[in-house]
Formats: sequence, structure tokens, C-alpha cells
Amino acid sequence: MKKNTIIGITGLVISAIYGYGITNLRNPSEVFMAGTTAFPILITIGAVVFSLIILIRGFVQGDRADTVELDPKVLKMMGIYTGIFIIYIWIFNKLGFLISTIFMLTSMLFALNRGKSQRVINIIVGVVFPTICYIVFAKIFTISLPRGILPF
Amino acid sequence: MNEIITNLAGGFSAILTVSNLIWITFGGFLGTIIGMLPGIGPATGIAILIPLTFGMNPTTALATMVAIYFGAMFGGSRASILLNTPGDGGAIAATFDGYPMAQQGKAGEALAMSAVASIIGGLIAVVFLAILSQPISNLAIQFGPQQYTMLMLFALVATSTISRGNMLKGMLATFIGLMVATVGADHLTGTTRFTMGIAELYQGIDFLILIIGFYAIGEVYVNFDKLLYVNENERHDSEIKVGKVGFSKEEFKECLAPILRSTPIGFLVGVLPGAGATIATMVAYSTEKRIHKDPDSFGKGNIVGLAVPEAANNAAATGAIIPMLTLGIPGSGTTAVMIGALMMIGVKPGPMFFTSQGDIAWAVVASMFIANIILLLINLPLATQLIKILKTPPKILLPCVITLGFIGTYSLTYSMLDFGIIAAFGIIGYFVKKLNLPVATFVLALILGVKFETSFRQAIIIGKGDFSIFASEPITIFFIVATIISIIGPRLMSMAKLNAAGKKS
Repeated sequence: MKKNTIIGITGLVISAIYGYGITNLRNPSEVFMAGTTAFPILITIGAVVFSLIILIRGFVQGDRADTVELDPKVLKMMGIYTGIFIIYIWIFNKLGFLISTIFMLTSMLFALNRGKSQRVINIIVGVVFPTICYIVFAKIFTISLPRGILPF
Repeated sequence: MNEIITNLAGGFSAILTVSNLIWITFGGFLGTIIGMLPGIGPATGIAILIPLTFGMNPTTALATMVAIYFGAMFGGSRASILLNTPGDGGAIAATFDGYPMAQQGKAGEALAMSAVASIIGGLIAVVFLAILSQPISNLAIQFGPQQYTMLMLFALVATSTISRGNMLKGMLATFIGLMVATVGADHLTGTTRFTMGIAELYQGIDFLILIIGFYAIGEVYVNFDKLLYVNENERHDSEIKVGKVGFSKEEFKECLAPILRSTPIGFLVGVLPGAGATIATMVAYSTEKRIHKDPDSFGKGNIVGLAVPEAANNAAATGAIIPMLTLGIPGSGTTAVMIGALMMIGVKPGPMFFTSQGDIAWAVVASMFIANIILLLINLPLATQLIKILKTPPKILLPCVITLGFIGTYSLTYSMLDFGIIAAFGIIGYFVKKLNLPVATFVLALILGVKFETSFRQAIIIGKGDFSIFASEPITIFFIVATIISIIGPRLMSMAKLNAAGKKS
């Protein structure tokens, strides 16, 4: 698909959603252009104008327009990572920072760094790196990280 | 001049403590490592290392960030010279002659000249910064809402038009950034806007969270494009031979004048919003090539061709700090991240910074001198050890970067909602990059959004609804002209280039 077409349509969709949000706002100021809605209205107009220009440019360019190709392998990997993040968010407070982060990093490493020879490295990095981070941030910089089920 | 020297002396006495020196050294070292790793630029580096600065006093925090920034500039060139893979945009020009030098067995000379040219460029630029900061601040103190509005308009438009040569996409990214900035309570009336009833959004979306999403996660996803097809063994088994790190007196003499010429170019381009180190190095390189006695040797391993962009790169990095410290307006992605981090620790860069927090401001200027010298001390003797880091497989490194991104996010807000936001903006960041939308433009709009809107509306109130207030004074007219030039300037230049190319053919 053409890059300009995607950008133009996305810009218009964002502007439409944002514009709908403006209609729900109260505008308590009496001085026109200085109220709560003034600035959002102006930037919405700007976004719509530039989205339309980009969209039209895409049509005018025809076959010469840049296209975007999405690699299914990359999208799949992003999907896997997003799944890992969702689980991480779910277990973070329950299991605590250390265990949940070891899970997240090890999972990401196994997903990306495949091969039998890499397993040991993945496990070592997946355990050691969060542990070092935990010591540095929680113990040295005294940043409050959830302990979860661990006593320390 | 005496006042500057006195202030600087005060800055040195404040910064020269053992803990500050340790943090500057540590920050410079980390920055060098981060800069060397392809795919992790200085902006990402600072974004994921923000938690390190929590608990520090503002002077130490700012000095550490500066050291990370400068270190990343130094480190970015290592990968350019040895792997032909620049760590960030500012290091691209170092590949032109640095990599051919390495191929010719002169990697040691290239690394040494890169470090020395960088430090000379960096130190001279800090002198410029020390001289210019106070006058710029004094001028900016007199700015009212209308002047600020026009200044920010100029910064936003200039960043949109210069950053990637695509004004339309840049402008759209700016408007979307401004939209996101309006989420939360209206700073003038207190009315909540676009929060969708989510209480955590009343304070607005923390732009540091978005930045971490874009840079720490989005950048990693962008790297997947290549990474999923790279055979790690092929890439990292290639032996990097450096040899003796140093250069001859003759080589230094040959490079000194070009370094001194390229430094002011880099500095001036760096000060301009959006232009950044990439353009600075390219301008310096092409200028030197034009005036060099043997221009054909450029791109084939000419040591001057390496020294020039390296000096310009560090000078530009220092130049970019001026608008951030004196006007509160970041001119690049990296300074945008820095300004966000500074706000977190209670430092408010802007016109009053050198007056109300002068002790911090001058200590930071002094720290820039020290950071440059420490970086030279790190980069020269440890050159052969540091380049071993280039062998770290990205497939192991990048998940660690994401992990640091999550830790950084949690330590900023302790909110699980923000985990979801960075994960979402990581995906958005990937698509934004794939569509060639300029991320730095979006980030700048996001950071300036609240200030821009507030100034704009205050000016309108002062002018009683009359828009001519924005063109009522010489300074606002100057910014209007600068904005127009930033729009038509790049187009005129590309038309001139096309004409010149047409005449040649």
C-alpha cells in the first residue's frame, strides 16, 4: 500500500476522533480563540489540511509513490513480544519485579535468539540481567520495585 | 567576559567533586558503549538510563546526562569506522573515510583522530556555549507570550521542514504531537480534555513514557527488519584489527585547520532547531571537500575527511544544548529526552535558568569541559577494549534494552497503565518509522505542546482577540521571517541543486 495513502487516511481518522472529542468539551472562556477548545480546533484543522494534501499527493503520484511492505516475520515477532508484555503486566505486581522480569526477558530472548546453542546464553542473560537491574535500582538507587512473592 | 570567567570558575568549583567526577566518567563510559551499539542512539540511551539520575542532585543528574550524550557521540563513530555501521545519524559521515581507513589497516589512526577531533570540536563548542548562553538568556527573559509563541512556531516548523526533508509528513507529525499534548487538564482553565474518563490521564500523558515507547521499544522493532535475517555468526566472527591507536604529527597538522574550520559550522547548525548533528556533519564534510587540495581522495580513506565530521558532530551536539538550556526548547530528539528528564528532577531550563539556577547552569557548562577530557581519556587508551562491545549480539542486547525501558517507565510513574502505553507506542513507533514519519518532530511537538498552547492563548488574551499581536514587534517579525525561510529555504536549495545537476549533464 502507498505510504502517503496510509498516512493521509490515518491522519484523517485521528483528526476525526480528536474532533469528536472537541465537541464534548466545555468552553468557559469568553475571549474567542483563548478558550479551552480554540487550540484543539486550530490543530485539528491543520492536521486535516496536511492529511488531505498527503492523501492527494499519493493519488497524484500514482505508481511512482513509495509503498510500504510489512514483513510477516517481523509482525509475528511483534505480536509475540506484545503477548509477552501483556503477561508481564498481568504478573508484575503478583509475582514481583524480579520473577516477572526474568520471565519477560527470558521469553523475549528465546523468541528472538533461537537455536540450541543459544539456550544457555538466553537463560544466563535472562536471569542475571534482571537480577543486576534489581540490585542496582532497588538496593542502590532505592527505587521501589514490587517484591511480590519473594521475601527480599 | 570577566563575568563569564567568574561564573565558569564557580561552575568548576561546584562540579569538581569526587562523586560528580565518578558520575561523569561513568556516564561517559555508558554513553560511549550505547553510542557504539547500532540501533541505540543517544536519545534511546538517555531515555533508558533516566532512572540512574533519580536521587541525584540536579547538577550531578544534568552532568551525567551530558556525559552520556557526549559519550554516545564519541561511541557512535567507533561502529562507523570499524563496521561501516553508524551508531546514530551524526556518525554517518564518519563512515565515508573512517571505514576505508580501517580497511586499509589504519583503524588505529582513524580511532585516535576521531577521538582527538571530537574533543577539539567539543571543547571549542563549549567555549562558544559559555559565551553565548548568558546573552541569549538575557534576550529571552524579555520575551512575552507572543514572542514565545512565534519562537516555538519557528522551532516546530523548522524541525518539520529540516529534519527529513519532508515538510508535509513533518507538519502532520507536529499536529498529531500537539494533539497528544492537549490530553489532560487545560492549564489555563482546569477543564479536563480528551481523558476518556481515565483518571490517570488528568495530568496528561507523560511524554517521557511515550519517548521510551518510541525509542526503546519502537527502535527495537525497527531493528527486527534486519535482525531476523542476520546470521549472528557471520556478522560477529569478523575480526576487527585495530593495531596501534595513534597518529603522526604530520597527520595532526594536516587535520588541525580543517577541524578548526568545521567546528563553528557544526556548532551553528547544531543550534538550529531540527537540523542536528547529521546535517552538521554533512555540511562540514562537503564544505571541506570543496576547498581541499585533493577532493578526489575524500571517501577513499583521507584522514581529513574523518576529522572534519567528527569535530562538527561534537560541536553540533554542544550547540543543540544552547536552545534547550537558554530557551527551554529542545532542538533535537536527544535534547527533547534530556529536557523531559530534567523536568522530572525539578530543573526547568529556559530563559531564567542561568539567572535563577545559575549555579547549576554554570556547573553543567563546566561539566561539558570535563566530560570531553574524560571521554578522550576513556576513548584513547581503552579503544581496543571498547570495540569488543561491538561483538555483542543484538539479539541478546535489544531485549535487554526493552527491559530497561520497562524499568525506566515503572520508576517514573509506578503505573501499570504506562506499561500498556509504552507497549502500544512501541508498535506505533515501528509503523511511524516504516512510513518515514519523523519521530523527533512528533516528540518536539509533544514536549512544547502545553507551553505553545498556553503562550498562544495568553497572547490572544493580551491582544484582545487581535492576531496582529504576533507581528507587532521586531522580534516576532524576525521569527515569522525565520519560519518562512525554514519552509521555503530547503525547497529553494533543492531546486538550486537540480538546476546545477541539469547544467552539468
